[in-house]
Amino acid sequence: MDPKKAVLLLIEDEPINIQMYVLKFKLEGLEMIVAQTAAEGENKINELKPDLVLLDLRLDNGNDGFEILRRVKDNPATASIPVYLLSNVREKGNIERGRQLGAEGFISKVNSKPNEVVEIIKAKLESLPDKQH
Amino acid sequence: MDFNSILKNLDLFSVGVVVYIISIFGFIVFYNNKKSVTNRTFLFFSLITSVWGLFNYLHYQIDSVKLSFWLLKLVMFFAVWQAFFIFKFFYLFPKEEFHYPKWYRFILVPAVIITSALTLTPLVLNKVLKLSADGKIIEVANGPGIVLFGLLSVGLVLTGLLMLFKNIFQAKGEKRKPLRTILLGTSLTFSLIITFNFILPAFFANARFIPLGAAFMLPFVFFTSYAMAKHHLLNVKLIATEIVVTILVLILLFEGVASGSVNQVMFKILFAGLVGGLGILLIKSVLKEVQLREREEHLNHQLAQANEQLKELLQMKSEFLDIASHQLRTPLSAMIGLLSMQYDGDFGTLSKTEQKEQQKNMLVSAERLRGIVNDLMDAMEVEGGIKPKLTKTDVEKLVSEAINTLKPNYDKKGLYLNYEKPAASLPQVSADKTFLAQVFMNLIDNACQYTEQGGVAIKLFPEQNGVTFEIKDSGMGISEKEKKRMFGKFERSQRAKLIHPDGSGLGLFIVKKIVDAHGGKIETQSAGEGQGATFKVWLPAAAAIPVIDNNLITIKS
Repeated sequence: MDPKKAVLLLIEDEPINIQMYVLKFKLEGLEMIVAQTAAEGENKINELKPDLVLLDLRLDNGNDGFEILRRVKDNPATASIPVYLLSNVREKGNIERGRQLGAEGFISKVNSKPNEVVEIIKAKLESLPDKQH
Repeated sequence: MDFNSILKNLDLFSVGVVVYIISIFGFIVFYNNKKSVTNRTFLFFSLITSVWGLFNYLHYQIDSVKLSFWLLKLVMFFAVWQAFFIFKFFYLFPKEEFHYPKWYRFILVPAVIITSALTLTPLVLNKVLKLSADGKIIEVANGPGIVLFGLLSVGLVLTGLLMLFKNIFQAKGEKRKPLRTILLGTSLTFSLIITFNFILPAFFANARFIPLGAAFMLPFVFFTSYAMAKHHLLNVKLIATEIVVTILVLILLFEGVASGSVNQVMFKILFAGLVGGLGILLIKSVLKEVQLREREEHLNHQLAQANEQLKELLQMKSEFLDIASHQLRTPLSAMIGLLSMQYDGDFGTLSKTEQKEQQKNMLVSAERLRGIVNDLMDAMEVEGGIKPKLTKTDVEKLVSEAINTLKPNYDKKGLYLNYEKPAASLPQVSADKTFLAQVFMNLIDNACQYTEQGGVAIKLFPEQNGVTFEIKDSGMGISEKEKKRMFGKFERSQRAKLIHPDGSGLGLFIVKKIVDAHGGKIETQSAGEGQGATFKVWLPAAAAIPVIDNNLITIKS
């Protein structure tokens, strides 16, 4: 699908990160919706059924990210939404855990510059079928 | 010997064995744990039951009516004490120590003493009314005291049973089993007593089994001892060996005594003695084996505990590494991200204000990273023990500075920060300014982090030739369990993690190390979870501290 037409959701609680990614994606012509808590994130996924989700793993209460991932993938209404884990947690063990829970990929914030993140997301969106209107 | 006398001897023998067994069980339970009140009570119960059992049997055998009547009174006497000890046992089980409440000492025990004394007077059993064909007492006139006797005995036993039921009901899981076993034994004993000592004589005029009353105690004694044995309160193997040996010796003795010629009697008694001697050797070896096994179990248990602790420590370390690495990476990734965007020219399209905003983000992230690195360094530094550079320090100044630095955090959270300035001037403290400042910063910062509503009150005052810094918050409070572990390395309670997930678990660890190195004391008070907490740090005044200077300890003032 055309990345510019996609509905993107970022679930992230650090204000500096939010500002940075929203700005970068905006400069690339991509609109991003933001949820700052785990609860808000889950609600928005269920309501909006975004085309792609960027999910931070360490949210307000600890490691809620994995829980959200599991629930999204367990719910048939949202299971097909690609979810990228966008986090600073140690890769060891967490990449595998994410994969097993059905994450589309694991992007380490500290190891990937914002333009690299945009590349990955754009590529994925372009590989998805067009939206039916 | 004719049938009746064989029966009589059998009766005597069986009563004797039963009495002996009950006493042995009592002693075994007692020797297993002499200090436990539960075990001691069981001993008293068994001994009293034995005596009661013996008298109960004898009073049916004695020909003299007067003596028989007296024995009957003694049976009643011991019955009161039996009821008392049964009650006490059920009340205490399985406690080892007990503080006797007033009602016990001043009401119950005197009541038991008085009632049992009364049984020996005509007030309870007044006089003999009817005798049987062969001169045995079959009916007795009761005095007014019989009511007291009945009420107290039945009351004690029933209350005891109630205690047993209550304990079973309140006990959870594993603890229920021994209690239920005891209940089973008690029920069996009760049924036997009721059937043979009450129903049969009262409704079927069959008083045949009354003298064997002691035997009916056996289910209770057996099941209770089994319960105590199975649940690691006694050792089965040892008891079994002791019982077998004892019974063997008894049988041999009895047989010897019942033999015909003197020679036979002597031989058989000697033989019984030999068997007894061998038996004691056997018991000793079993005891040693049991003790070895217990020691092995104890060591295994200690090893398991050490393993658990090690696992916990490794787990904590792993959790800490996860947190620490995430903490370090967060500001770092922001810095790299923003700088790379700037390098790519992404900020060109932004307004001046927006550009300033992003630059501020870069700076803030760098400072945040610095803070985390400092924390880690501090923790690692204090871990080995610190060598503070001591100079005369104004605690008041350090506290004011810390408050000024951290007040914005309080304002952001909408918490109040009250500082009660010291009324009089405070003595100076011999301290390392940097380290000590850290103590106040950590404590005041913690109070802010772990308080959601209300605020914090700080006091500074002289105390006991030193200075006390007191900080009281209206925050999440501290439980007794948490209090014990709070100052350890990487320690974070579950509740703390919820309120402040990014904490390092090092703050209090660092604080305690520094306070200790300054010769001071730190104390925590809290009414419990959700009820706020107060931290008090006491530091000795400058004159009081010995300063170690080139291996010479001098008192500087």
